[in-house]
Amino acid sequence: MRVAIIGAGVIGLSTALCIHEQYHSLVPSLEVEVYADRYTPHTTSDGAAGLWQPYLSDHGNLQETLWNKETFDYLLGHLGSPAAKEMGLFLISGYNLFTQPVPDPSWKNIVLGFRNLTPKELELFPGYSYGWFNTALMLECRSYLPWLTNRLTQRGVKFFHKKVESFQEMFAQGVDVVINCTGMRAGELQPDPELQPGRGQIIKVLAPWVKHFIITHDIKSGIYNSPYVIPGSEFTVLGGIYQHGNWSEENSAQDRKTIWENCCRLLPALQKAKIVQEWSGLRPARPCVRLERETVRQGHFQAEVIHNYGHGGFGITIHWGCAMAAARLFGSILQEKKLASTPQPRL
Amino acid sequence: MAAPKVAVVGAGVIGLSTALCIAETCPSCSVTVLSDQFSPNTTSDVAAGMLIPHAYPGTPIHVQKQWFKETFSYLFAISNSAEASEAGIHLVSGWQVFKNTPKEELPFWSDVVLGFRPMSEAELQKFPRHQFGQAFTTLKCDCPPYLLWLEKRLKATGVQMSTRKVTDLWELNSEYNVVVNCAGIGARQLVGDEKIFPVRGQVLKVHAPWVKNFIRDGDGLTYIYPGVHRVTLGGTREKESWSLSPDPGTTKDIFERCCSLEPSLRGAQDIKVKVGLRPSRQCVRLQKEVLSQGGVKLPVVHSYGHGAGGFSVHRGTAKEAARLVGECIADLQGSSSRAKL
Repeated sequence: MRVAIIGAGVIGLSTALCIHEQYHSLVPSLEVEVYADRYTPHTTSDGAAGLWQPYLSDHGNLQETLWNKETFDYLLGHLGSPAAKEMGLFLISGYNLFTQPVPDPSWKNIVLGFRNLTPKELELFPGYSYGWFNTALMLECRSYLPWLTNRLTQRGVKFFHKKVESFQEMFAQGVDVVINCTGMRAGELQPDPELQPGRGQIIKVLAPWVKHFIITHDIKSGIYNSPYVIPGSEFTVLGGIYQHGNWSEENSAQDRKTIWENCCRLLPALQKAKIVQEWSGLRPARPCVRLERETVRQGHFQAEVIHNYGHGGFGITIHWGCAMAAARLFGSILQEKKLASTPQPRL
Repeated sequence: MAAPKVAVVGAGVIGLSTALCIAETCPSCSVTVLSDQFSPNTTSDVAAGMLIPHAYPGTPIHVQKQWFKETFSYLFAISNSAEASEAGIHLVSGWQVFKNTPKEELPFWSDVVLGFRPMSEAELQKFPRHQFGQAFTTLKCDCPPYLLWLEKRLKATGVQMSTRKVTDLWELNSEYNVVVNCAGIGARQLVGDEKIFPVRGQVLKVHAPWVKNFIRDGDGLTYIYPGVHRVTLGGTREKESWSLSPDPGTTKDIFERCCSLEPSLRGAQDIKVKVGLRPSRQCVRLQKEVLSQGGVKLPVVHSYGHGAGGFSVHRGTAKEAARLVGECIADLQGSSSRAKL
């Protein structure tokens, strides 16, 4: 039973690990392979700051809220383990700021210590009259993706550096199940007009005195189009760009100016921060995550694809819940092929 | 008196902040800081500089609270300005955890720090050996940056700084009109105060930049305070110990206690060990005294004995000391004009 995961961002690698962890002992013939043309540090995931935080509203996607919670709880459980540092995982507290009162988010009871900001705290942020404080997690992909890669390599998962041009290409090679974790470029394998780029740009700076994340929100401009400051273990990420439909991965001077001026207005001390790097990336945005099975038929030949893409700006936040859901779909494929006596889908 | 000459003895956080307050409130004064040690070799440089007050048994609570409030407001404004990184001042959030629920659940400073509240059950799960906790956001003054920033502000206002070991306040009588004694633990020798005693503290300063929250055990002995570049791990409270040499057994013990609160510290790198002697006293000695020898008078303002709480109250006591210096100068000017009559 050959399984090929296409894509080596946070979604691809975590899905590969989840599937291998759950089924390698149940299916002796299981061979898991990863195919990608970009590996860490060149994936979209690598550009993300790594803060666990869903969007403000789940738009009724309760399934996604559950996957977010599963991810948070899974990561929280790893915090005290020796692996945490290597994974790039740590706790972080911070602020979400608004210019008017807003309803509490779907994730208020998932994070730790969620509360409203006091008037004195709001004095720190002129122009903002309402906000939240909570403790969440950081998962830095420049550490997490190598950690996942090591776990996979230890398990004998093979990696291939190539651009897959079609699902057929995989099936022609003898792959039985393809897991499609191609993120932004899923449309190249199968057209999906609902998948659109949410272009982001960030500036990485040295500002080690910043210990909190600060995310501002402008209800009118939409998510991530308002300044944010996210301190990592080495660098602090300044951002606040979300351009729907913009495919450019080039850094824009105008966007840099916007980010810099807005973030320095938010945190005057940043004026003294040293700029280390700039980066742009495309959030694989979709009205909802595409996480489903598809049976691909060609004549007498039938093969399975599990899609797991379209995680927008919350891929890290939702990744483990989705990996487990994809693994459950894989389990049902195995059951149909009578390859596993009792696949153990874990919730 | 044309330009009153004020000497401030001591260049730790108390000496430097007091000198700055005097320069601010008395622009005509000529202020000089005299000390045998300057940053990075003062007691203050060893401290984490966390704004979490230490209660003085002999000082009224409302006075301590006022000092803390003034210090907190002062530093809050700096942390919110472009100077924050140079001054080493930053906000930090975290938890104070208790193995047993304390009698006093609301410390006197709970409404001065930001967002003070009891920890939730979910938050306490991170600390299986602790039953109760408090979450809040406070400020941290990193040293040496904060002391160096104070020195820079002092130089800009014309305050002189001079390396000099003062062994007797009378030495300064011929050159200065008022002396301010911010000698910290040095006051024991300098003015023969037997009421001040060292409480030895050993700390580790480690590289662990993923630690963004502070954790403090309510017993005050174990704490993890993330600074700009290093995390301070502590500590000890050894009364009457004068030893400034790091003890390797203590280092191991501190590290183990901190790792049990925050396991990820096992990955900490580049561990530096430091020792400081907290200048401890029942109450902070913050008062005027007029020394007198053979008809000659020397007004002195004492500001020492801040123990474990120097950073938390420094601006408050500096302002009070500056006010007392103002009184000394007014008294001197009063008596000199009487002398002219």
